[in-house]
Amino acid sequence: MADWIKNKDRRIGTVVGDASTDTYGFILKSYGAKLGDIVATPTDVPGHEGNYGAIIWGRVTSINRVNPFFPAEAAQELAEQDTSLLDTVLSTTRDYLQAEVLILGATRTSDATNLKMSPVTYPVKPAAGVYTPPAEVIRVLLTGEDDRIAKAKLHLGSLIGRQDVEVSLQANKIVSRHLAILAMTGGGKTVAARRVLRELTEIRYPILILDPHGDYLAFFEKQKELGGVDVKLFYPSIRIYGQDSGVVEDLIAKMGHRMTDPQKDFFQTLVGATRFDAGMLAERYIQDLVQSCGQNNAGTHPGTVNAVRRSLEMVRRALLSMQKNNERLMELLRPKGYTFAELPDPETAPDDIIRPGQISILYLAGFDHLTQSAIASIVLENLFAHRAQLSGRIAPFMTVVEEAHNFVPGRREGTDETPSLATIRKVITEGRKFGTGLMLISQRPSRLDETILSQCNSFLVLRLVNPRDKNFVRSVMENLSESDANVLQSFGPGQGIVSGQAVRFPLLVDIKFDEDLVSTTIGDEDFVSRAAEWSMNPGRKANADAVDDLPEAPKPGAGTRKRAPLPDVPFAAGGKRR
Amino acid sequence: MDEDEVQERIETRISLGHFMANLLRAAGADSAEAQESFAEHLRHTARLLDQFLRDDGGIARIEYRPGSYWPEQKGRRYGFVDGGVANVALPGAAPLAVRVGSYLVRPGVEETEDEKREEFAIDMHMVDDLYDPSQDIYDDVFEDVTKLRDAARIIAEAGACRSILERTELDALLVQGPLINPVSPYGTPGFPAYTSDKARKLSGRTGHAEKERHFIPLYLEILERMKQSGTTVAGVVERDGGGRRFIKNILDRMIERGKLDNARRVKTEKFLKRYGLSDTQLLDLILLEGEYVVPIPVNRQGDRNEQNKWPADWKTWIERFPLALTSFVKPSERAQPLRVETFEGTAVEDLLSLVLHTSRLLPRYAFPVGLDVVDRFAKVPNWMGRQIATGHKVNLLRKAFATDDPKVRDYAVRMLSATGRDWLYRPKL
Repeated sequence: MADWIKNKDRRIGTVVGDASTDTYGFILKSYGAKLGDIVATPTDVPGHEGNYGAIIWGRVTSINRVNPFFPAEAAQELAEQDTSLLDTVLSTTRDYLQAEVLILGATRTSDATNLKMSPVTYPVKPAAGVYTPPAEVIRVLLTGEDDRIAKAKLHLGSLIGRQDVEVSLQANKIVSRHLAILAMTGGGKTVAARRVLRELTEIRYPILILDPHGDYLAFFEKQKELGGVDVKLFYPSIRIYGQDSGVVEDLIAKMGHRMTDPQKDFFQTLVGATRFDAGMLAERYIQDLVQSCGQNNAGTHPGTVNAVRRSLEMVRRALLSMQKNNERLMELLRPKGYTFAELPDPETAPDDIIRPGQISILYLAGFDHLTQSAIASIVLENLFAHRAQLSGRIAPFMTVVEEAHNFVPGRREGTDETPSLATIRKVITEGRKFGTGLMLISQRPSRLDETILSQCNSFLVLRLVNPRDKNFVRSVMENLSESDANVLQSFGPGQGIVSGQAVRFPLLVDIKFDEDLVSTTIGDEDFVSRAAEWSMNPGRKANADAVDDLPEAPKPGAGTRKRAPLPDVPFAAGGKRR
Repeated sequence: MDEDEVQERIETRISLGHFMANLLRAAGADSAEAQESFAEHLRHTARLLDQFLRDDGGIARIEYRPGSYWPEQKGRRYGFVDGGVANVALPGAAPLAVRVGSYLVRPGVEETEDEKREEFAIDMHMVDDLYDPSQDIYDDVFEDVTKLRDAARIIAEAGACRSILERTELDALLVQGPLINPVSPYGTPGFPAYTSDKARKLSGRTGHAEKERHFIPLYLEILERMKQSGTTVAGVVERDGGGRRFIKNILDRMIERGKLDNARRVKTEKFLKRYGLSDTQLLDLILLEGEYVVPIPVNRQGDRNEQNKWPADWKTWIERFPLALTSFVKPSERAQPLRVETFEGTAVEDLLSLVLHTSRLLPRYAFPVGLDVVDRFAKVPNWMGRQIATGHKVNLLRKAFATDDPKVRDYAVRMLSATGRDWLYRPKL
């Protein structure tokens, strides 16, 4: 195993040019390596006790192919004369490959059992050989030598172009220090998230998914494939359990207008005067509060009364609307075997939501962004509070925030009206201490809050084409090189770069596709067929036809006598007044 | 071509810089009047030669037709040869490092495992220290190491051509530079012979007598073998070095045909000499794109007037050197004509068509692209020269320090680290 670095069959190139402790270049043997491959170079490094042999590890960040025997002016002539290169005496075979390597670190020996990485303090030697390591050596290098870490690994996929080298994430770093999955539409966000979540379910880690589009409902259908994990589908329904008015006040604050002190006083008067049944729907309770406004307003300024009433009405209407929309969407899924339950009260029954071996999916489809954000805020606030109080009511858990740009928008997006922003900022900042990890998923990274995104210690960036998104990602990810950023747009579906604390160094990865977790009952609708099959409701059509058959009513003024021309009146415009 | 056209071409060439050196020469040496008359004289001379060559059928034209030409070459094999010399300056040593590369290519053939389209090879190399008594190339040392180097380069290129021609069937072989070089500079007394081993490698045979291993007979032997191969072999000269041998031959022909008298010939030659005008410069004014001068045999060893300068010991050998059938072809309007030399009896039109079509693949550079390819391949890179120099210095220092003599060490350090006027040599107080 240790001798691979001396094996000439593994030699893929020779170091040339100026080498530094960060990068070096080498002439690559044809087909010897690809972009993103891990390569190794032996070199002598000065140490405390004299020089010692080290292996410098690096990742190929660019490959240029040059044919110095094929001048550009020849190419121009061939094109202009419509002549085939092969027909001429021009040379095609003497091209060479020059690769750039980003240095990752150094190890003392090539022994696969001891690959403790340390910073590189001495550059590689020009003319040194560059080698491709065996898969098992790279595997050890990627995961580290610690067995305890090895047990808590989340298998993500394999290195791009090296199916024999598995890439895994360190589970502990993901669940406590947050992960961001960023990609354009079709880049493979759901594939990547599904992969990580499946691995988390294998270690029975509690998961809460805020699912605005129903992308994760298939987990319910595939519970068996997930090893019997308990998947709960919840719809949000805010109920009032406690004697205090906190929930309603929260709703008003997040969905309505922030109350002034006099308004708060009046609101408290209303709460005190309104009958309360434990467990009643928030919407119903708010309706009672509105009615109470008309009865308990003595001595209160009418403006204050009206302001509180308006806020309460606004919140009530929003709640009613979300319930109706959500119910309609759930109705479509019920015939397919999906069963939804009302979200338990996150304050009083958090353990029904967060439980080891359970995935709780909060189905938010049908709500507008503001309402989704308000619900997410209330739920997360309560769950986080349980963890922060160290009450032991719930286990550490991971929250998946799909369409994260709607929950944690950046400043340019108008963040004042987004209730979840402050909550998620708190969770992501303090989550490390209390075990409330977040997985932020977005297709528009540049619309995310920069502070929140930079709190993610691990990133999985898949295909990104939008220059603004790429620049934003580069500004947030400290260890994303320029060449890495350039390669983002060339990724295929499910291919990406993983970087941060969950891996030892940035890696180009081909994410494993969990085909068995793809839903067989819900999926992309065939709108083309649906449009072809569409026909107007028969009753509506009959009515329309009947109305069309009615005789036309006379137009106003039709049939009346034509107005006589106006008399000829002399007009002395600009003339002298008499 | 009328005088106005010639004038226009002169002005274009001046703007390209081709005649700038001649003008500067005139500016330094002549009166303003003489400077003005430079362009006029040049115009007259070019017009004179142009008229004679065209009336005499001395200028022909090749059609540039890449669309049909290249498919016609399918399956043929062409070779291109060039030598590379390491540029190494070392104290206390005269290193010689020459290598000759070849590029053989079959147009229209797709490269497969069984069939090669392109073959690159280093066919000859010579590396030695010319001051070292234990010689590997020459069997003795010689004061003028520049001549030794030049001779080695010339004969190595010829030896490589011979080797290729004898092992491979080719349709044509082009070599960068003259096909036949003047040899009398290497016939000076004391110029050493090649070692038996080197003579064998160069000529491909054994059993040379000592005299036959000398540059002149060995080079002659190699050229004769090249000629005997029956393959079209040509040297293509990119820069002619200012020679006027070709124009002189044309002037001779003009006298033969009664088109010029001797006095005017002498005057013309004086004018050309005074302003350093070369064959290439004059023909650049005469030839149009795709035109070439119908080849004439040129004795590269010198005309009758020069034969008295041949070294007496080698006169009989030099007389036997083949003539170079020489032409100039102009691949494109904005490039100077190329000198093409081949052996007598060669099908010149096919050869020049190859030169034209391979040159036009580099429209601006206008030089056969195969020779450009092999030039890049055979060139000794600077880093290689530096490595040789470093290795030599290390070796020299090691030897000096092994002597335990402080003076020798001091000299070695000074020699390697400083030039003659460096601070190390300042007089001590």
